[in-house]
Amino acid sequence: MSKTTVPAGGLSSDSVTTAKIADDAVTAAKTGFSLGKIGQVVQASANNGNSTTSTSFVASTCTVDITPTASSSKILITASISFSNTHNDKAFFSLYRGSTNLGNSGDGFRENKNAGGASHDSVTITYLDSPSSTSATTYKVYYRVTSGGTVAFNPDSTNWTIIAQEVLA
Amino acid sequence: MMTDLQKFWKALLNIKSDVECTIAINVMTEEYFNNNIEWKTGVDSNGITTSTTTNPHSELTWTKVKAEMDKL
Repeated sequence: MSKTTVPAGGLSSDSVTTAKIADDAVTAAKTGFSLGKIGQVVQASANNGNSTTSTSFVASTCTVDITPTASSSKILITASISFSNTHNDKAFFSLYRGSTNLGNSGDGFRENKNAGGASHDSVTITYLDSPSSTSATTYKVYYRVTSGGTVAFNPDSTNWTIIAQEVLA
Repeated sequence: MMTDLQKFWKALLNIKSDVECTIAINVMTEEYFNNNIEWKTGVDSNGITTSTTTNPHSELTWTKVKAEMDKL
């Protein structure tokens, strides 16, 4: 194996080009930081919606499917939605993986309290999930309202958006 | 001015204040009312509402709801 003497003053700028570095010459252990990266990005967006008086969670129209390439991957979900809460009550929003509530069992991830009159607002849910699976996985926003209230998901037919990003281990 | 969606909910809740159901946005016809509204029947172990499209509330008919909506 040939030897190369490194000058006492160190290597000059740009002396080690990418082409001079053999494949796998630098391991993750030597970089000093994780080499986690985005494996795939899936986005869903539409302008449909629904509305409920249910005090337990119901499925919204905001949903995305992703199939992780490795069981060690994490899935970063970002959902952006608009809604109206037309009574003086609370609305709650959560994120489900399949039938599993990823948020608080009763209150989910976000709460909106309407102080009276019609309220139009928006909410974003961001969550890093570890599904530990390579099967097709569905993430969906669910919502509910307190008794006697009404909440409309995407009432003005703007576009909701939900993005699933696979973060490789 | 109330939207049709707001009128529908107000009319429905005026007739039966504790009714729980889910509807699509901007779709409210007699055919939809009779066949597509998801009427709550309970909650499963995951906190998800269970429902049926068969209206279990005899006091809630399209005729009554529409009449109530027209008053608003």
